Amino acid sequence: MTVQGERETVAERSVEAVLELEQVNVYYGETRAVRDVSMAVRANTVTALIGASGCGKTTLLRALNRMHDLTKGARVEGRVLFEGQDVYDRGVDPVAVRRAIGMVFQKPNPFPTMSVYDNVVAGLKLVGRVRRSELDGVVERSLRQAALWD
Amino acid sequence: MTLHRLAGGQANRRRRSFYDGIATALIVLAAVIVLTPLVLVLAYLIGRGLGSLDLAFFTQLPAPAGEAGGGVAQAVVGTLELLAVASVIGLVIGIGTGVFVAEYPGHPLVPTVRLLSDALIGIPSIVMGVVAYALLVIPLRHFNGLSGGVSLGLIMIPYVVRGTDEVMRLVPRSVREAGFALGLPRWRVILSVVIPSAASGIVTGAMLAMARVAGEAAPLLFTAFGNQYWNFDPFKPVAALPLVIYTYSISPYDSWHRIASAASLLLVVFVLLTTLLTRLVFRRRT
Repeated sequence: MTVQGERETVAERSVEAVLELEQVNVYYGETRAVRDVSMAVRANTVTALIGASGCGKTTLLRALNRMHDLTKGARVEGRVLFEGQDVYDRGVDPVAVRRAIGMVFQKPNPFPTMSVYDNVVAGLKLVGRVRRSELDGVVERSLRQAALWD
Repeated sequence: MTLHRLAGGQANRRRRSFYDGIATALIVLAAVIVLTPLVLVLAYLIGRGLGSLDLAFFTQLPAPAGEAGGGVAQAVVGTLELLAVASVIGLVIGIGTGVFVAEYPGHPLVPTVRLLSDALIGIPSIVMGVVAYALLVIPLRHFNGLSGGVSLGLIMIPYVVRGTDEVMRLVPRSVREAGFALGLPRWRVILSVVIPSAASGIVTGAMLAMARVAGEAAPLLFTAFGNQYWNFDPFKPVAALPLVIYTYSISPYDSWHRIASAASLLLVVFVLLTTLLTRLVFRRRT
């Protein structure tokens, strides 16, 4: 496959929106932290969210994979469609949502009781489908990509 | 002008340092008063008991009354047996309840459980002995080691619950969220992320609870009952160091008094070492 061909397929696929937000509001108790956000996120593209400190970027992101379910008093209104399915529909398992929609935190957030190695493979290991032989390769590749391999 | 006022007059300063001296002296005095009994008890026990704490103490059965020599090996082992039974009950139920209380704060049962658990701490240990007596001695029709272990386990539970609850709640939100963000179900987050983070604190709480019940005599009087001979059958009476101390201290024989002192020394040292060791080990790690 040529580089040209690859670009085209990426472009074709990215036309479709994987994530669609419709009138999303997030409340912390009575406070409305995110107001009527509607947007689409296309597949295989990098989408940036810009705004002043404290304007609700993280709050909006956390609404996408139902992290607000864990916060007492937080409430999400509106629809978040992932591949056409509203992640807030009744019957949707928030754990399954979080497996499909990953999240990287603003601050590095390693598990304090695990080694570097275990932290790198934590996602693979805890979710549970890995062959031991693959782990070493994954760790080296991941750490090299992050310029942390020494 | 302002500076002058801030500095205060010479007399003012003298008065303040005078009160400061008095307050410091009172605080030091309070600390000394707290420490004095501990030092006195230790010194007394070392003076009276250290001489009897020989090899025979740990390896031989009691000598007949009035005769010299002999040991309380069966009570040393018996206390370890009782602690083992107590730990199984106290730790399984205690840690389980602690995890529940800390991790499911929204559950309607939690406030009640927490309140009852705290109330349990205030219940006299002898009452826990009565509970074990009713549960295990009356149905079996004779005193037995199992009931003793159960009574100690019941005493341990609320301490373990509180210890577990407190250290689990110290695990920061961000660490839990990292687990949830990986798509882990709640039980997996608790088991693989929160409990390992809190493990050192949970172990400390468990050790302190064990040290707390190791010296209990009251609930054992009518459960484990004590034994002059070896016994490894949990359904028969089992010896324990606190019972040795009780029986031997009120006996008329001087040789028994010395053994009681030695047993007391052993218990105090055991409890102090457990407390110190857990502190040292886990201070280094955290």
